[in-house]
Amino acid sequence: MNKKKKKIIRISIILGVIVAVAIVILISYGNRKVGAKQFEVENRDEMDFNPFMSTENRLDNSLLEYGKVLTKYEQKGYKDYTGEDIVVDMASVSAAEGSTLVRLTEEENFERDTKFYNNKTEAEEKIDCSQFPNAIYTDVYGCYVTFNIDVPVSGLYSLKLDYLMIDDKDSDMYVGIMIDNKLPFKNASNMTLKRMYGFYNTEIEKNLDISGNQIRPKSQELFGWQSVTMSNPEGVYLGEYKMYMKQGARKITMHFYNQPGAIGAIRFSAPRTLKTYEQYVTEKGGIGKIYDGKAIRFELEDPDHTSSVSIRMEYDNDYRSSPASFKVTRYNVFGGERWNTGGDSVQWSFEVPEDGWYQLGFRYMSITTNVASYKDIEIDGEIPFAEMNEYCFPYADGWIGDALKNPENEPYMFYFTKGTHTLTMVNKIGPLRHTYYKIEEAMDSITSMINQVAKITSSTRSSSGGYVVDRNRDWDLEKNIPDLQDDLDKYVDLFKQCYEDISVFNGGKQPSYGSAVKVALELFKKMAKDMEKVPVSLNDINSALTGLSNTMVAIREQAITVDYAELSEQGYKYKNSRSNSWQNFYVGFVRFKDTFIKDYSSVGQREKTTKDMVSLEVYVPRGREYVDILRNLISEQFTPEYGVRINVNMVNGAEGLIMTRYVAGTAPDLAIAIGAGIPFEFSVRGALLPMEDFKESYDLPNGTHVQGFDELVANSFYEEELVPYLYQGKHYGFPETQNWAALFYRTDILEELDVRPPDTWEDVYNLVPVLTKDGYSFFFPYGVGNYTPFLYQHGGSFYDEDGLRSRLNTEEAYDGFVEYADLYLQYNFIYAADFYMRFKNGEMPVGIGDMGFYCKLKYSAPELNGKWQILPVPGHTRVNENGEVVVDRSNGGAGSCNIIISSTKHPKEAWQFIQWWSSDEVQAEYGREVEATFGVASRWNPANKKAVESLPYTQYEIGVIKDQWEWLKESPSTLGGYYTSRYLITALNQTVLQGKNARVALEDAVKEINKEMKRKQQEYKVPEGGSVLREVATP
Amino acid sequence: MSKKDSSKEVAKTPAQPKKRLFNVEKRFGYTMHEIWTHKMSYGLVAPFFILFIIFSLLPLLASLYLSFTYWNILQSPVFTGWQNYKYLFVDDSLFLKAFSNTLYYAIIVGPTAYIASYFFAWFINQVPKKVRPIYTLAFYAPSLTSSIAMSVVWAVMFSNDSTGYLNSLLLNLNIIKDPVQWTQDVKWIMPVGIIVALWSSLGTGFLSFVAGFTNVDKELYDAAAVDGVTSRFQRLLYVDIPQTMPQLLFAAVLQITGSLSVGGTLAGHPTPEDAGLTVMLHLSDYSGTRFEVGYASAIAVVLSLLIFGLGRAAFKILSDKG
Amino acid sequence: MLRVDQVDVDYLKRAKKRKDRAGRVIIVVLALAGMVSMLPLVYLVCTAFKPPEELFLYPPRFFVRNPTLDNFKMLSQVTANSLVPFTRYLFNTVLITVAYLFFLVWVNTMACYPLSKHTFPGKKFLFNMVTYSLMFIASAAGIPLYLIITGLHIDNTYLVFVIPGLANSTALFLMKQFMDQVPNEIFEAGKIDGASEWQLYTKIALPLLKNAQATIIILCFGGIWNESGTSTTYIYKEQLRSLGFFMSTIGGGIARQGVAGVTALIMTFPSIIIFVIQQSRVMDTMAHSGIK
Repeated sequence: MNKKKKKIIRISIILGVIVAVAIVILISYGNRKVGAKQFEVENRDEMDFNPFMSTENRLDNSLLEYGKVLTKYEQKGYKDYTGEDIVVDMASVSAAEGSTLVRLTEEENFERDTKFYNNKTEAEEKIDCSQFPNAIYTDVYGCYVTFNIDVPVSGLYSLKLDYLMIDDKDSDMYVGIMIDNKLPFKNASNMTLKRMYGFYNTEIEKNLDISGNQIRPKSQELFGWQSVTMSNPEGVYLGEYKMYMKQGARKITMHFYNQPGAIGAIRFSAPRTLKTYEQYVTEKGGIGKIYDGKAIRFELEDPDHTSSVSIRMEYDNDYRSSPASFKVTRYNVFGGERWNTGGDSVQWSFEVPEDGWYQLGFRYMSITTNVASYKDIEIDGEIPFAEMNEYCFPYADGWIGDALKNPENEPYMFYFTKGTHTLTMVNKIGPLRHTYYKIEEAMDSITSMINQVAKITSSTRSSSGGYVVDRNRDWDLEKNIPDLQDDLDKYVDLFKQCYEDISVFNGGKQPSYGSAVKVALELFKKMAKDMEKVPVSLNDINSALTGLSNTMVAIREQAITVDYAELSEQGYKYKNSRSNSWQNFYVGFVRFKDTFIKDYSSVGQREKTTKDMVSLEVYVPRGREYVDILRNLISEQFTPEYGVRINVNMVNGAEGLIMTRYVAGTAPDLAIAIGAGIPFEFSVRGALLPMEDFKESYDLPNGTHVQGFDELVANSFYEEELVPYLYQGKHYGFPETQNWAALFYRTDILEELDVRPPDTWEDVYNLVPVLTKDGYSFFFPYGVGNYTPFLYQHGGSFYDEDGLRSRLNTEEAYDGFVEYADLYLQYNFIYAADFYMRFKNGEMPVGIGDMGFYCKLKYSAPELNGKWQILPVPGHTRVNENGEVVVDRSNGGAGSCNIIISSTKHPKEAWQFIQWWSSDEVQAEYGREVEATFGVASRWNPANKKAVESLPYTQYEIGVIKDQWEWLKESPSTLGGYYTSRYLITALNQTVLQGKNARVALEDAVKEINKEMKRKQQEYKVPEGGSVLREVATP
Repeated sequence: MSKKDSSKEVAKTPAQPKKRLFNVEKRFGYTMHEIWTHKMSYGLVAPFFILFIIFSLLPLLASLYLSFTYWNILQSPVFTGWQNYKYLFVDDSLFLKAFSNTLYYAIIVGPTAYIASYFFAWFINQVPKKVRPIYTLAFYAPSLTSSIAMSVVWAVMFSNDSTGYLNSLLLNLNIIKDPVQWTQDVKWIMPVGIIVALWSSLGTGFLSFVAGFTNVDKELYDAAAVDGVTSRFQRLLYVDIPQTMPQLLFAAVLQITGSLSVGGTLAGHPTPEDAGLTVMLHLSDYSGTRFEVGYASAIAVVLSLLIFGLGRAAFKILSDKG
Repeated sequence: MLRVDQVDVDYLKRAKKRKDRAGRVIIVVLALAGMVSMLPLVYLVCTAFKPPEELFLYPPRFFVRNPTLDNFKMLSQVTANSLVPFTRYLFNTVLITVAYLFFLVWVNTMACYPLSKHTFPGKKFLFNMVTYSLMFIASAAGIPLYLIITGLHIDNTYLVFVIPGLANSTALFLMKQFMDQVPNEIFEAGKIDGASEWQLYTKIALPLLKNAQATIIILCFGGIWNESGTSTTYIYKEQLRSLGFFMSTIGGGIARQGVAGVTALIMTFPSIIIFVIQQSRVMDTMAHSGIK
């Protein structure tokens, strides 16, 4: 016993010490001193030529990066133009050959389109177009215009445009320019004109929910004329674009495309020159009267406008964030990781109390560890002095308040007159642009080196996608690739330089993305030392390249969060910008304590509950963040407009739960995100309401339009999407999401092979031998679902029109089945392959993928950007009803749906919710929010065909998806239908893997399927000659 | 009543209850008396059994009742008598398939896992005490991480893709020419499922063995040594096994239940030719996909009866000796 | 009084002296097998640190090459923006886990003693009921259970996490078997020494059940710690739901794959800690010969 006591004492002492140490560490960590040291960088736009391409400087300018063209200009001694703006007479602008020109005034929707909302007052205002009487209208499909100008003196000019964006799509207008039919530099073909977004409902008091939380102000496009000097849309370059024009008459051709809008004025002007800080001070008469009052704080969460819909107000729980948001939610900060793309700009306005000199500082937080953020800082639309061009916000760990300061860490002083001023911040990539392009060039060159080495060593690609090299042989690489040693040394130098630069331009700190460069550096060092290592390192090189491509993505990201700016006296210290441990602890405690008081089911309910307000419970089996976005939308839009409260219940796996609670009589009113197979099973048992109950459209007393089932389907959905929910002539589910399939192909590889991507299955069969010859293959997924397109394309169907018998024993079904099986039997398609991996390494350069595959590529294979494209899936040619030859691309892709439970007491309101949720605007907005939250990786896939168009696909991709959806063909559900897939697997397996006769296998399957269907029909007492799918007059 | 009194009484009463009397009044009195006499025993078991009856037994009985009904969940159950059982034994051809697959699985996995659990626990008992928890952790790890990591690792191991670990290895060794369709080929579906199951078979039984061994009276080893038992193996036979008989029984019951109620294999459901269909899958197919819960309950009852049978046998063999 | 570890030390000494080959073979074999067994754990840890380009590698790499904390950061963002603060979910889960395990051990320890060492009418019947329930496949029991629980109005409270799972047949069966392992002589001796029945239970039976208790804590910890089903089925108030539910609802497909790795690690980690702690408790148990 004594021993035991001792032991207990010992253990408690140890535990006590550990806890004490942990507390001390936590507290001191919370109270740690953090500084953000400013540093000096050398920053220029002129770029070195590609060290791996000896002739690059001799290339035509139209093929060169802007930075390189700039270097050439410099070498040739071209000077900036300094005179007056050359204003293009818009009346003289004419359509280029093969294009038509429409003036804005001729556009029929002109009146409607040129109204806009002022976000502060929510008043509709009309855009004044009188100042640009000859403005050109450009539609989605683009327009080419041409005009002549008289260039007074040879030199470098910058281009200014006045423009107006018209339709409400979250995508920018692209601009291309050619001078005398030549691009002045490569990037001149895709400059952009950006949209403007502002925030509605920013007044906190008016936009609170029941618990006093602020409802997130909505971001909405602002329409109006904007004036902009063309520069790199991704903020790659320090300065604006400059293009060289020779003296004399020049023919200019411009191309406006991607989004509709209007161009009001085109001007060529003198490139801007920036004063230094000293010049700025001198110009303003030297630092005279310095403001000496209290620091003036202006909040940054509510900007006048931003250039991207995804940048928005955020809330932050930090104790010191202003206004505080930890007790009740206040949108109190701005930016964050969404504000990371180069070229994104945000503008605020602020009030200055008196003329004088001020120190300007910000409370900000870096998002990525050890990454400094570069931004242009403009006052009243202009960069006040050169140091504000790509000003660096040095990295700080956590929130920090700091002045804009010079490399000696002395704050800059700004002169302001009394009155309103604007502050604009534009994300820039900063000096790392050189590193970015160096890595890109090295990667291109390394890829071709790998190919060369692989050829010489006749390395083959193993089944795992890697290279297999005979390790025992010595390869005389030097003889075959004479420059190899030289190149390897160059790579080593280059990576060493990049690695150092990354650190230097982040203020001497090494961010995590630098590690991939380090890995590459070490690898090439090793190989440069011993060239024999090259052949055996091919796989390592490949994975190093993947790492590098991610580094390239990371280099472009410039995220910070800003809380407020402060104008203050000189030498002001930002004392209250960081909270200490106690404050952090206090925040945590308050938030925790509130969970025992707050009513979370009412979160987001804008209005106080009234007795007569209908309340609905909705099941949402989706992830937390999806549900939060939905909750926001409901509180922002649905509840105020419809006067119906929604209790969103986030659940895992709704189907089983709905059943259980249906039995207990506590079922929800409706559910969204339900699997496509569920509504049929539920409806057979009478648990759902048919959508046909809500056919009629009507208006609510407050003017809100409620779309009826018919209207909604006709406007925004494909009839085919409803097929899986059909039971006895009525639909018991409403489509919510819809997948799409497409043919994915590697443009680079197909080009190399000199083949075109296939359009029909015949094309595929012709392509396969070509691919096989070079060791490539075609991907087509193996499985029952992939037989479906063949079935439909041969004109077959799964069931008869009553859903009583299987139709898989028809000739059409058999033909489709044989064709599908032949993919594997005759064309040796691979049954199982990780398409993603093999598409990436090029082994399968063409194949069928779906939306998930698209997102995966976009998200985690940035190195492939621009090297792949999509097309509608291959089909079979046939003659349609109109006698035209078409390619039948029938394919399915049913996603999830919405259902109304029959036990609901408020069916009308339930439908109001579903039609609201399914509407074009809400789906589009939800998609936008989802994209802003998750990025491209989890893009929203609405079944609403109009909403799809507002997602950030390219115009081309939208076209492909829509073309494919024209061929949408869904399979109906029927009693016992689950046996179809089950026995098709067996039949397929027997045919393909076991060599059984296809017809026998299929017939065996049909027998079993029919048996089960019959059994189920008996169970549900479907009479002979009755119907499952169609409405039958008398039971 | 003070504690002392009650304990005295309890201490006195290991005697068997007397012959039953059929006088109701007397019998009632007798029962009350019996309960009073054993109030400590009843008091200790009461919390458990009250909760047990409410939350386990009642739902079980309901489930039993449902096996005699037609019930599609959303509509109320309809009593159909023995019809479900009739269908099960006469018409349901798949049940036989599922049953034979399950037996195949259980016969291999059950005993192997059981013996492996015992031996690994015994091995662990032989290593120094300080490192035992680490070893135990290592072997129990598959159960701790089960669902997520496991499925990923095994899915890749037996991937049908030629890049799957096993296919890739076999291809490189030139043992096979084409990738084996581990989860598609009807020949492989069950064996692959069994291998995966064996790997993670060190679960509850194993833990109870590990703990059981620590309860073995160490003096018995010395006593046995005196009797000439010196080798590890002999000690296992003469000391360890008899001493851990209760755990052996416990693990046996769990193992029987576990192996016979095996659900899906790596190949998932449905599988070609129902090669991976087990009774449990068949059951969940009826309850989940076809919404015929009454019939599913009947399958459950039949499977339970089989488990009872084997379980009772285990009791006979192990508890008599113990 | 013989301590277990002394016995063990003697063992090893003797084994060393005899150059116990078998002993060493066992250790080596165990170590190898253990390493294979640990693979998923290693995988779990590595996945949490993988950057996106490594997450989607196929076949997946076991070890991470460019470890990153991005996934953890992303998780902290998701948790920071949660409607109900993360701390509340953590609190809920800690509370229900502690309460559940405490009462589980309590209820089952109490019940196993009379079932093993007492004779009383109905004992056999009660015990058989437990073992048979263990062998019964309860396929349709979910809905009746739902009706019972909502009928008792313990849904939407913490109780629903704790109470329905307390009468755990496996735990009771295990406990009872451990009690059976204890020779009756000890209790006889106790009685002779004049110990009351209560003392027999608390002073002799309870200490001997230490390793059985540790074992059921290990067995049941994971279930309650990762609990998310009850949160979905019986709880409609978000602030009463558990950490396991919170973690399971961090969806988002491809974009949150890395976060999923982190949550898996975080949810598994406590299980490992508990395992090690409880397992050392098992190893610490004195054989009954020591208590006299």
